[in-house]
Amino acid sequence: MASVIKFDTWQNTNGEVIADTAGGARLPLSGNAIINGDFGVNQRGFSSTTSSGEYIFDRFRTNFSGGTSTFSAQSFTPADIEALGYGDATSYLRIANSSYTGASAYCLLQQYVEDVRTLSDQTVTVSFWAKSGSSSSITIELEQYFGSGGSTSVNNLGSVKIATTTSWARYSATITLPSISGKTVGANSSLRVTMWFEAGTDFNTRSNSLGIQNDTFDIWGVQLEAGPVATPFRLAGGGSKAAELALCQRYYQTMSGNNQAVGMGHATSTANIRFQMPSNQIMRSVPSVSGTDLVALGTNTVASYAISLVSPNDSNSFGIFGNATSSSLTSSAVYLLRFDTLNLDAEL
Amino acid sequence: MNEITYAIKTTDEGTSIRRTEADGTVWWVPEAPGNRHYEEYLVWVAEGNTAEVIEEP
Repeated sequence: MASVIKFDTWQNTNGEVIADTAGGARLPLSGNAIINGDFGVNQRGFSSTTSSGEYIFDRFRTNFSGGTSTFSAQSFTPADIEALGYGDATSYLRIANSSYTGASAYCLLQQYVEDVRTLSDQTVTVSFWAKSGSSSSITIELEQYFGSGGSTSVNNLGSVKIATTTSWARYSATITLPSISGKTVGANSSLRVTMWFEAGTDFNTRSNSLGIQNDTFDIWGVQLEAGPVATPFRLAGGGSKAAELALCQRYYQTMSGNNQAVGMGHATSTANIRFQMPSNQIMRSVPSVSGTDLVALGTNTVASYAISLVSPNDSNSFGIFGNATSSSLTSSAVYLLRFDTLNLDAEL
Repeated sequence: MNEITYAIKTTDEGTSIRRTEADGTVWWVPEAPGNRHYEEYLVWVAEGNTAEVIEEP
């Protein structure tokens, strides 16, 4: 005998509506557009910074002026995790602000979601967990950045101001993104997701008159998804830590070479090696390279040659290709490349 | 704004850009549209700055 179960709303154990008669199923269809929304990937080994314009937890960047901010990685306590209702949570981000003053002051946490086409002409919802040192507010703003050579950016999208308290709670903002029809998309375009924590009066429009607060904010579980409601938090990679790391490595990779020969090349002259180095993922663009103890080893003489410059010129599934400048090489000879650490940066 | 300096070297294989950040971190930057460090370098040059030329190999 067939049975039918009828319900008006279906909630998960956190009281979040995951289906109802008005909206139907509210399980995310396209997932979270924010990569590393749980701050679980930290390839840079970020612990604390007082610098603006720095990438911290993978994919997230600081952006502030007109005051002092300390962005730091914090570990959840079991009580915190119980408050969140998300057992896999390990780290959250703390932003401690002081001495902010003046009309031009601001403090932001941002993630640039690759490609301005992302979710354009759709209603989207940004959600996150937060608490603050006192009763304060956070403003959520989206910006369509059309890249270098592209159309003028469109900001002040949403600018939803949300009151926060001293206890962990989940908040959301629903925003309608405009169409990009007729716009020119240039290099490095992105949908910029911005959390405002401090804003002088110069930014009253974009921040919804947030003002100067000089407060401390804790953030975790950032999600951007299609649709008018916040669905339960999930990682962009669907929940797999390996998938989340792979998504992050499209933009940044750090590798330990352990001072072993891990790349190979041949000398095109006495001063240049055309090389190939490993890469865990195809990167978004040709990356910048930063390494320690990077040397070339002559395969016949086992002599080592200091490398003074590296110029990557290609990135594909086989690794990073480029040129390394050295001296006293044997033209046409084969060289092995050795490094201790190697960082590849293709962030937006 | 953190102080960043640039130096360049041109060889038969192309141009290498060395970006040194305030904390001493060195990045080798490709001449590749879409690389954010290269885009920042172009802005820096457009502001009237000139990179040091590296003479040694």
